[in-house]
Amino acid sequence: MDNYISATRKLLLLLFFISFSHMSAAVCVQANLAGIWYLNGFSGDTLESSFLETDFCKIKINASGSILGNASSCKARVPEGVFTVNLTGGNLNLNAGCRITGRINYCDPELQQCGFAIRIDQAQLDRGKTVMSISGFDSTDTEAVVHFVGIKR
Amino acid sequence: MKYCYRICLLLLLGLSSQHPGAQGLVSTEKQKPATPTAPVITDRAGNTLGLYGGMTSIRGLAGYEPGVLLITDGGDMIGATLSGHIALLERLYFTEPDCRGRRFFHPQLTGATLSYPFPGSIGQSPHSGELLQIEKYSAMQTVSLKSMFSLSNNSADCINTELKLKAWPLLPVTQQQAKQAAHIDGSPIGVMAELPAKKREQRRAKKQQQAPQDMRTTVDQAECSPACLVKDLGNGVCDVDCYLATCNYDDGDCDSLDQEVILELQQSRCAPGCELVEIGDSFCDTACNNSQCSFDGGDCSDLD
Repeated sequence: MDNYISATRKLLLLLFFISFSHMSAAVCVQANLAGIWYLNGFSGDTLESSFLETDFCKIKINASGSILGNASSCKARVPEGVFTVNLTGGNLNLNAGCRITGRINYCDPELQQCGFAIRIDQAQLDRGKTVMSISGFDSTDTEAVVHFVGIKR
Repeated sequence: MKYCYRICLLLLLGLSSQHPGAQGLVSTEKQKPATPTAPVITDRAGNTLGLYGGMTSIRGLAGYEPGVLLITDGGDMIGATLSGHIALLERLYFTEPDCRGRRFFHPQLTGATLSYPFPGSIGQSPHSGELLQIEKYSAMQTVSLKSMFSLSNNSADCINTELKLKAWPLLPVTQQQAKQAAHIDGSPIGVMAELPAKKREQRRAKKQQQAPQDMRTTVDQAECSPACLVKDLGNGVCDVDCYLATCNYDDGDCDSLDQEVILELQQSRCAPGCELVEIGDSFCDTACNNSQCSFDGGDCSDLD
C-alpha cells in the first residue's frame, strides 16, 4: 500500500512538474517584444473583399513596447506599384498570456497624411518568442484590415 | 499565388460585324441596354446586347480547359485559358450570312496576358485594340452565344454552336483608367483595385476627417539618440540604446544591471541605434547609413 501511495505521489509530482514547465514556457514579459521584427502579410478591405495589397514591414520595438518610428517602415505592394509606408510610432503591449495588443501609427502615402493607426486587437507571440501573428484594423476605417506574420531577428 | 493567375490569350474567333456573316450571331436571355459610349452588338432580333465576358471552356493547346470568354464590339470573341498556355489566335471571316461565302483564317500568336477574370478585370480586344473592363459590381447574366466558327486551321467545317455561359457586362475603359488599375507588366491588362470614384471619395473624406490633428510626417516621439525615445527615459525599463551620455544613461534605468552586459549588448551595434542584422535588410535605416555600418549595406542607395 505504501509503495502504491509513493508511486502515485511521484506520478502526481511528475504531472505537476510537466504542467508547471508547460505553463512557465507560455508566460511572456514585455521585454520579449523588444527587438527588430520583420513582418509579411496582406491588407485589404473586408467590405469590398479586396485584398490586393501585400506588405513587408520592419518594426523596431524597444524594451517598453514603443515602436521606434525612425527605424520602422513598410513596403506596400499594390497593383499600381510599391510604396513606402512610414510608421511613425505606436506601441505594442504583451501580457503574460503572450497576447499582443496596441497600435501602429502610420502615414497614408495616398492621402499624404499622417496620424493614422492600425489597432492590433488579436495577436499572439509564439512560445519561442520569435514569431508573432497579428490581425488588426484601421482605427479610422474599420473595414480596412491587416494580417501579418512576423519574425524577430 | 492564388491571386496571381496570369494567363495567356489563347483563341480568337473573329466574326466581325463588318461582314454579313457575323450579323445576329449572338443572343442573350436577358437584355441589357448599352451604355452611350459602349460599342454595340445585337442579337438576331436586333436587340442591343452590349458587351459580355464570362467563364467557359476553351480549346487551347492542352485541349479544352476552363477559361474566360470576352465578347467585344464587332462580335469578336476573345478566349483565354487559365493554364497560361500560349496558343494560336484564330480569326474567321464569313462573307455571307449563315456561314456561307468565303472564309479565311488569320492565325496570329500573342503574348498578351489576361488576369483571372472577375468584376473589375480589364482585357484588350485584339480586334479593335480597345480596352474593356468587366463591369464592377455587376451581376452575372446568362448569355447564349449562337455562333458559327471553326476551332482550328485544319477544320474547314462551319460549326454551328450555341454556347451558354454566365457572363458579366463589359465596359470600354481608357488607357489611363487601365493604367491606374492594372498590373502593368508590359501588358495593358489587369485587375481593378479601386472602388467606384464616388464611394472611394466618400471613404477618403471620412478617413481624412477622422485623422487626428497631428499631421507630423516624421515620428510621434522625440529621440535623444537613434532608437532611444525621450519618453521612455526613466520609466524603470533599461534600454541599451538609451544608455548613452546624450540620453542621461536612460535616467538610471540600467543602473541595476551589470555594466559589462550592457556594453556587450552595445557592441552588437556598429553605430548607436543600428544593429548588425539591420544592414542589408532592404530597409533604409538612417542610423545605419554611415561608414561604420557599411552605409546600411546599400539599403539607402536603392531609394527612388
